[in-house]
Amino acid sequence: MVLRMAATYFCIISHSKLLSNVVRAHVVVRSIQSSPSTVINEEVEKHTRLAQSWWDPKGPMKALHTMNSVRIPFIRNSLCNTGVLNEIQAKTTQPFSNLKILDVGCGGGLLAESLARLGADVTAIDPSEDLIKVASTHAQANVKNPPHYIVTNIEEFSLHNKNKFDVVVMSEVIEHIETKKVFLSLSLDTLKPRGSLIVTTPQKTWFSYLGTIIMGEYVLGLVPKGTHHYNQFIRPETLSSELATLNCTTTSIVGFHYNPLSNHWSIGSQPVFNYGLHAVKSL
Amino acid sequence: MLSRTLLIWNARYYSSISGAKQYDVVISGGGMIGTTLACALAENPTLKDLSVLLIESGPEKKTNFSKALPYSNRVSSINSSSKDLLDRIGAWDQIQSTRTCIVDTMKVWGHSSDDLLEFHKCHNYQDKISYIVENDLIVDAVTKQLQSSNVDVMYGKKVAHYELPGQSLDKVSIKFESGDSVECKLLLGTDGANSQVRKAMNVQYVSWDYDQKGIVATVKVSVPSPNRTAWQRFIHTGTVALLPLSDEYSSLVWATTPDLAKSLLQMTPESFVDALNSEFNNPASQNEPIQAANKVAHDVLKFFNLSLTNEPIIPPRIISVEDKSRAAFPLGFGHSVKYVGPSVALLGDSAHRIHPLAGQGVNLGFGDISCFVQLAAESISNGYPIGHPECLTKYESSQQKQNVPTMLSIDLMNKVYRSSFTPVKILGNLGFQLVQAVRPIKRVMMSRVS
Ligand SMILES: Cc1cc2nc3c(=O)[nH]c(=O)nc-3n(C[C@H](O)[C@H](O)[C@H](O)COP(=O)(O)OP(=O)(O)OC[C@H]3O[C@@H](n4cnc5c(N)ncnc54)[C@H](O)[C@@H]3O)c2cc1C
Repeated sequence: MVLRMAATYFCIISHSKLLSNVVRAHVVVRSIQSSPSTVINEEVEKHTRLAQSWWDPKGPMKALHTMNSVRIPFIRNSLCNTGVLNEIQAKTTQPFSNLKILDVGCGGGLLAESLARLGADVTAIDPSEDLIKVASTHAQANVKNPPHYIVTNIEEFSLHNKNKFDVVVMSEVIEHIETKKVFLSLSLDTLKPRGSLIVTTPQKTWFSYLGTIIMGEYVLGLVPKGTHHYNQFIRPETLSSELATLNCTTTSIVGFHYNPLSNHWSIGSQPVFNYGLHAVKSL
Repeated sequence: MLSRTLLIWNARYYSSISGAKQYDVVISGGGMIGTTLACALAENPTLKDLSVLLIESGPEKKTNFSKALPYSNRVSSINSSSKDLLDRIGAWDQIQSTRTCIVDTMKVWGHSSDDLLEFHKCHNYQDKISYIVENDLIVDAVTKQLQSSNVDVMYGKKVAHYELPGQSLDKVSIKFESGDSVECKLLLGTDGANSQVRKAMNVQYVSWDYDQKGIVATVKVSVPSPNRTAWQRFIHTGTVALLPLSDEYSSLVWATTPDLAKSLLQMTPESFVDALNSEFNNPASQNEPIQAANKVAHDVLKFFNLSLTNEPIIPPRIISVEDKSRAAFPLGFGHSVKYVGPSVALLGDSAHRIHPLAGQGVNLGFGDISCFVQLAAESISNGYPIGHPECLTKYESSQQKQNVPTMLSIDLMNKVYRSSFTPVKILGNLGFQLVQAVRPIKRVMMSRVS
């Protein structure tokens, strides 16, 4: 049971690395095989197929698909708590309308697209060109106001987008970043004063260590050894004090629990496996 | 190159540019469950913007139900959660102001030994057990609500073919016999026990016939006023139940063997009334092993300080049967192993069919609606598109957990009381005694039965 949970749990938090590897391998194979005259057709076909596998709710991303049922309420409640949203607006079908949201490290767009569907004006960035293609192909066919997807990193993006967003979201990203403080600081640059930062990431405990590194990399061999570094995981207290030095006050931390058997998520007060943190940028 | 790209594009989107109308949700089957579901989606603040189509193969329902009409022979016993649902969609006011009868007592007894088998009489713990409402009145009141909503309705429309997607979140295409078609993101099958939607899903369906027919009729009764007691007797040929409609009238549901049903339908009204009265009144069989077992049960209960009500049953007397109100329906059990598939879900009798002995059928369906609507609203407010598999699987596991135990216990009750094998009957009687005496069990039974 623990092994199985750990295995699934690993899948959730290592999704982006794993998938971008899969995507990359696929692209290489296709471009070697295809003849130059069919390049555009092949591209259309390829991205359609990739989008389907990323967006297959039973596929490798299945835990991230269902994670929106805790991520979105967490974002909504956080914005209610700090008065960005009022209770009435929060209950409408477009609670995030009038909000400019930046999704940093958006991957295939699972969260960005839901935010857009709920009315937000979303900009979503990811350094992987392949994933951005997957994300925008899917969004064109599935949302009325698709997110603006851009292939870029935060270093570049933050240069021209200072004080621009009401909310910055980084979901399941920071555990892959080595220079967290720089990353956080650049992301905060894009946030308006009093804007909200939302982070979700695995907790740094023996359990997530077991799940992601021992099971995922060594026992099951699902991703190359070294994909995750336990020392890159960050505890909520550490994250919160890092943010404090960047003039950003943490207002809430909640735990996200995952049941791999039912593929359902729930919110709890204790950050045991995975957690969400909300912080507000000072004036 | 460009033309090739376009070709692919065209192939993928061919059907949508072919002119098929697009909906978010199509509900197939406009019975009590389908119509109520359409209203419940339309009145939910989170779901009201969805485009919804309701398809009913039968003719358009006239909404002209009035108190002046004679009582219909098809009635349902509506429990309090079903009533709350009808209230939420705005239909209960009309139902209540037209006609409905409150049931505050249920008397259930068996065929073998009547002094011991009074089941429950529950003045003390809840005033209202359930409401008896004619099915036509429910459909009438709900249809009126539907007319003021933005749900599209097609009557007399026969579906030739449902094309279900292999993958979640792909489109469902519905082709009509008339040649036209519609497409939707989510298909909800509310087309009853013989569901065509369920057949298209190609899921395992566990079913059996009870080799019984259910006879319904409206009868005039002589009972102390107010008439608020539901009566049910388990007999070796099946069950016979009377549900109160007014001080004068009650509605009959009589489950019996097909042969007996046939002759009951053909006999004169006078003989029918006689047969019915004797079914309620014929004395208990004096089966010795059963009496001995009952005595043991008495002693056991006494030992645990549990009491048993020993009031003699005075069954209602039936005076006459209303003209042309007798009809018979086949009875069966059915359970769809899956309630959902990619972009499709079943609600009501299409997912589960039970013996009418406990008056649960439509309540299970109303329970499906409340659960589905709540989960769909939650899912939409979490930014998912309609019909997302997370919502569908949650609906399935929650409703199967709710429905299957009820279905199985009702099936078991029916089997136990029809059995002519003494040990099984003893079990049945003991079951009744224990239920009678042990209050917590009784409370659970009551909340399930009503
Ligand atoms: C004798 C008897 C007594 C009963 N007594 C009670 C009782 O006391 N209390 C209780 O709660 N329940 C009772 N029930 C059960 C109850 O009647 C059913 O549970 C209830 O009618 C189910 O409603 P439904 O809308 O799911 O299905 P249905 O009532 O069967 O409605 C299905 C609808 O779909 C339409 N349809 C079918 N196929 C298609 C198609 N392909 N396309 C479009 N439309 C289609 C049909 O015309 C119909 O209108 C009783 C049943 C019987 C047989």
